[in-house]
Amino acid sequence: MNWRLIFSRHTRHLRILAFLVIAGGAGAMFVRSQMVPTDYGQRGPYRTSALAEIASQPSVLQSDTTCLKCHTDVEEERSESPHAAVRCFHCHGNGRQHIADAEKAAEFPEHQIPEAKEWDGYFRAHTDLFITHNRATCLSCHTSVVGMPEAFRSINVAEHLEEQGAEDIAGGNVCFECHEGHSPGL
Amino acid sequence: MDTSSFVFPNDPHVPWSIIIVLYPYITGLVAGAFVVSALYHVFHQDVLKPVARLALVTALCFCAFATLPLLLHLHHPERAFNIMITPSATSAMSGFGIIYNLYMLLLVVEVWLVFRPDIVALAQTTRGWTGTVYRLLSLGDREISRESRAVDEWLIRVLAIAGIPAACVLHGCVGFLFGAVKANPWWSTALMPIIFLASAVVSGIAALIALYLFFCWRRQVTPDADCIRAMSRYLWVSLTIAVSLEMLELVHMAYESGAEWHALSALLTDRLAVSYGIVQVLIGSVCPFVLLLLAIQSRLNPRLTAALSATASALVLVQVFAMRWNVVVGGQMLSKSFRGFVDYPLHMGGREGLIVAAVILVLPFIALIYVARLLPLWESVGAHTAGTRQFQTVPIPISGIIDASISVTNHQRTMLDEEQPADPDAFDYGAVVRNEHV
Repeated sequence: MNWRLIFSRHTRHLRILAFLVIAGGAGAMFVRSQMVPTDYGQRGPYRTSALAEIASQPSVLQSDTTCLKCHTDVEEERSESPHAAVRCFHCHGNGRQHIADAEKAAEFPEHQIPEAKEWDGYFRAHTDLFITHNRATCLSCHTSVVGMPEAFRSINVAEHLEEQGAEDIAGGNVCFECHEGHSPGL
Repeated sequence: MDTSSFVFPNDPHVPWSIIIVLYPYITGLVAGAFVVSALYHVFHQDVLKPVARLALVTALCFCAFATLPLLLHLHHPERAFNIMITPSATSAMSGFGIIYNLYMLLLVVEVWLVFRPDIVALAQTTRGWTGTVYRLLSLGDREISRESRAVDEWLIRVLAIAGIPAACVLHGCVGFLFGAVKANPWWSTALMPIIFLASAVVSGIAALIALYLFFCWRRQVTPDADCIRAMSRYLWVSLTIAVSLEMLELVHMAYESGAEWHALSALLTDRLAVSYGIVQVLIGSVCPFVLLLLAIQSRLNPRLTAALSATASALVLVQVFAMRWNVVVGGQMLSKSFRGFVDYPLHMGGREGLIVAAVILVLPFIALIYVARLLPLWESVGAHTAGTRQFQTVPIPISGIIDASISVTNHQRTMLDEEQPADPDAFDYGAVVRNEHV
């Protein structure tokens, strides 16, 4: 190719294109410079003020200590049970509103605490507080899977229900024919 | 080991859904289509001329939607820009964002240069909104001289050369994103970017064969048998390489039999038994391998070649999708403690359901059909006519200022000679181009 052509009148379109690309790039750089937070990068690839903002947010997950302040009977039930390691929110949801209601009820006894709903069967349920008797909850931990330690109580559902002579093999609440949630008696 | 404090499985759900499966799938189609375009522009594989423009435009249309699955997956899509506003040198996703933008720019410029003679001609002959679009795309400069085209052709070749490593890095980066997750043995392998790249080339060529045959069917023209055969040959070679790499990785894992193998082998024979063993390997790899071997036989009837290639391409596209599925979803089904699997229920509705995924996958094709209406993807109708593969260049004067050169067949040349008005200034180049539109 004749290199002099690049700077000739025949390449006006390329000069227009180059101008647009450079102008676009410069515009993008300007926008970026305006959007970078002032305290970004001081302590790492984040805003320094983000630490305080995150720390000030209320905790999403409630600890068992909060639940067991009121539900002392559950604490007793679970204390000797294999389910002592299972946290409340695993089977009952986050319960943020429930705890807020409970705190309000402690202050104003006339305040009613709504009853927990039955689990909707969706593992990412957004229900604040729920109770569940659905086998899916139990089987999320107790289905026999590869590599599970021998000491962990895992079952093949069909075999287990047949062995134990379950009445309603297809039923959702079949586990509760023999077991309790807080103290399953395994 | 005290296991009393474990709750199984410890990964409650699959966060990267079918939407994220589409992300490497669409990106792969971009890289593969660009490779075909580069084979013509850089390596002068003239047999691919009928699909050279289609390949470039396909790459552009798919590239435009490559990041859409990621944006839809994010709960805050606007945060996607943070990876470029405040990029981190140690973030692979940030690297992808920068490479993606540069590659998109390169594609836009290359497509513009390739179609510039047509854009300029159409800008002068088309009225209304479409004409305004052409005039905007011409950037106000309507010179199509031999000199300007010489520079353009040189620049197209430079961009095509630069685009090959860019396409490789773009899709290699997608594979790297998975390969760098060291907590997941199904992903964490240095082969992952190479496997992704090889399957990207496979999917791109397969998509082009399918699209070329589809457009030929819509335009009621006979597909170029040599072109189909050549693409099938490239597809067969790249499929062989891609599947070999995939199998090598698996055999390597099995032979090593590391701590994670018992979980991986259970994953493959249980949760992925159908999508891996049957769909990816048997239907998607073995069947197209045999079909393509038959399709590339030169003594085969062209119609049969096209039918075999189309079937094989469709199966290969399914194979690559299954491969992406098995990597993305399969890798998350594996509990990170290697104790148990997670279920992935694929819902029809919802933000990340099957319907949304189908819409995302269809969008690039809709864009392609619109671009095909706007720009002439087929340089010459004669190129697709059986028995007329000889091209010759005929200079056509347009409005006194354009000295464009377009390739036409002998048959077309005769037509032009007969139909061209006495006044060369009045010749409607745009009409010739539009006749070739889809």
